[in-house]
Amino acid sequence: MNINNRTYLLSFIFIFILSLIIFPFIFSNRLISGGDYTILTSTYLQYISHNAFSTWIDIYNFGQSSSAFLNYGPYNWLMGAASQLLHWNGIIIERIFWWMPFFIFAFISHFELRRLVPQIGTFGFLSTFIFLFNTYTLMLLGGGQISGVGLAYIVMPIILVNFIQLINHSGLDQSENPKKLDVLFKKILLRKSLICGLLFSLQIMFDIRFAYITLAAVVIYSLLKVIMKVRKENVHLLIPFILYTFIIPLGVTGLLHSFWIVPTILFHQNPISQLGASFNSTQAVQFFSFAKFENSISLLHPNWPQNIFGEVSFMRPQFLLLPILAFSSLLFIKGKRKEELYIVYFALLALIGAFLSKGANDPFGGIYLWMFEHVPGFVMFRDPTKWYTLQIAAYSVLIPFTLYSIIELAKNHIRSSFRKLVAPLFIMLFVVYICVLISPAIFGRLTGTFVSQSMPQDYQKLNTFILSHDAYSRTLWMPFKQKYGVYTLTHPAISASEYFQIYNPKDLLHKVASRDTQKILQDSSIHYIIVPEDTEGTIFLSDRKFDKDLYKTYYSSLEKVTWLKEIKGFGNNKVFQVSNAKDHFWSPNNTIHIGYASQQPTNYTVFISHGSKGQRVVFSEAFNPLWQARVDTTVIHSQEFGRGYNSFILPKDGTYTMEVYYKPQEWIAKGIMISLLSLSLVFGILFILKKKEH
Amino acid sequence: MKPQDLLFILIILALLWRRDPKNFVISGLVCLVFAIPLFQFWVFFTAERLIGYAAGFLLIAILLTLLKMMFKK
Repeated sequence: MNINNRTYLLSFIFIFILSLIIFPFIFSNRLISGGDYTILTSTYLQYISHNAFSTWIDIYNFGQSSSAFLNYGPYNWLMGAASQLLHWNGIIIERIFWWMPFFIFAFISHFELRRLVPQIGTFGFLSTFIFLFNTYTLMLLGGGQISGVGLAYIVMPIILVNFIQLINHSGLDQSENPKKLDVLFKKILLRKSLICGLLFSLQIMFDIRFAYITLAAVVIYSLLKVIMKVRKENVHLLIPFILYTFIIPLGVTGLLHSFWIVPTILFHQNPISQLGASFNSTQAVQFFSFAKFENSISLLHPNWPQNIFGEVSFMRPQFLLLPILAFSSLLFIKGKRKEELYIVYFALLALIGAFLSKGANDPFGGIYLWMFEHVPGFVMFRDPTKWYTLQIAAYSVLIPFTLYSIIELAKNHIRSSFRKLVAPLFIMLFVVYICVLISPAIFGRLTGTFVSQSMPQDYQKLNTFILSHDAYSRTLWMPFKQKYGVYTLTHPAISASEYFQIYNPKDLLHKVASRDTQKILQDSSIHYIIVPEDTEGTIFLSDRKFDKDLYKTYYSSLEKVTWLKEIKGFGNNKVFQVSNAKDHFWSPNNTIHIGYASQQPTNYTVFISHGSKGQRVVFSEAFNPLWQARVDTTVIHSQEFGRGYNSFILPKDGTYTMEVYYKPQEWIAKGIMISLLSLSLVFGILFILKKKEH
Repeated sequence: MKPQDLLFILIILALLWRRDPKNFVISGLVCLVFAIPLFQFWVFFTAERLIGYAAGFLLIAILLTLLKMMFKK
């Protein structure tokens, strides 16, 4: 069954118009900001163009190893390169590299899902509709998470469908593998396998967690297929099945991502443990389990629509029609068509997604906590709402199938003159229903990126002031860094609460104001303390509401500190100078003269004058044993000093240069070489296979 | 265990005797439908329970359907 082409075209025009209404900021000429959105200032674009593959990131706090987070490096590099070579500013870059691909992938996904369940025909456009206009997507985009998370999320159906089709052709069903097509069959299978590897690599580049979710969905389908198809007589087909479905695609992915996988494994980097207990403890999971089962099964994001962290709204019963429509698809299965296995599969996927999305909440929340502690990779899901992805993918197939089935049933009972109107009427009713559900988005009541914001003048002045200093200096933001605050290689920003691990305002102010802290700040190269203007009311909070008195308390407390000198001229941004703050490299011994130069966060050339053997040079980055120094052929390992900095003991007297470097960076170039060679090899094989097929 | 849970188990056993997945689907959908007015009128405890029962019915429906598909081959 097909609805006519005019309805199909009108449907996509409607999606475009609705996108214009909900996302008008995309079509504006301002930098987008809000939530966790990375503001693409020229400074930031310059930073990523040179440091996209840096294994040490030092623009936040005192730096940390980033080799395990370099998956996004190639995309960062592309954006940086485009900005430098084509002179595109952030306004163009964010639209070309984030927003346009997001909507393009959303449209492509419906074509992919249509291939899987052709009965839904042109109802397939509803897949795009459901994927784009659900509360999870809107909260994701409003929260500023389009750059990695959003793109990884939106490509999920494309990758899943390709894997499903690969599994279907993997030969488990003997009738699909007649002997006379054996060689050609294997070539087609290899081609599909390599394409799945490329697509999976793309998703891993955007975000590893969503790639894990996609892999989970693929494993579930594989298990279903194995249970349905494998018998004693064809068990030998399991070997090529595993080879083409998992080993080749994952092998390709591993090779393409060698540039970060190799240093991560070689140097035993554990990114989750680096992030700390707030990311890898079950208490964190329990805290972040905001969605209840009724929220997750009805695709209602727990923070909808205010998107205030921690504030969960009541269940809205009108959302329950979504699972009713989705699971009604099971009533239309007759067991006659092979596509009906997909309906059962997606129904199972939806239930699993709903169960996992509620995290540690009842029923059986202990299962999620057990999986968090025992299932490899599950520790990445401190925030269970990412599992909404499974349901959204499932509902985007099930709901169009239900509507198609209802319409087919209705048509048999309606006069022929009205039959042409049935499909458009049902589609219109469903679209109106979704619009009612997401009405806060349509009427401009969402926050975050949906609200037009531009950098206030006072922040522009403050950033200019910070950047005007050539010498290295850190800024300490009380209590947290504000999104408009600048941070660069030579001017990193630190959130005071995270630095001191104190989150109570009174205790934090007491700590910062104490005499001991002056030396700590000086040794940490912190030149300025900033109490920021809270433009969005998200920093100075009492009971989740902006508290102006709290902001004033911070300011007035720091005004009384005698060793701080206020620098005026930045409006409500209160800036205090820390006198005699040290440089990035310094020594407790006053006899040494130290100079240094650097182009990258992982490599410094340090000029030592009047040095003596045994004297210590301090490098005020977070201590990591992989920082090393080299004088001539002598390698010096970093020793922890003071409040967790690196330090190097000089091996000889005199005047000389010392190279300070972060060891894993040496492997990045080798890893990039492996990745590029692998990419060329994969494309070469695909080209040859394509030619031979013809 | 609450009385509702016992009723849920009894219904499952009765439906399993018939072994028709569509009965489980209908039961699951009915639970979802009944949950709507309960949430609307803030009868949260029973409404949340109904969501759990719905998921239980739907899971059994899916498993039975898969079994039927498997043995049909």
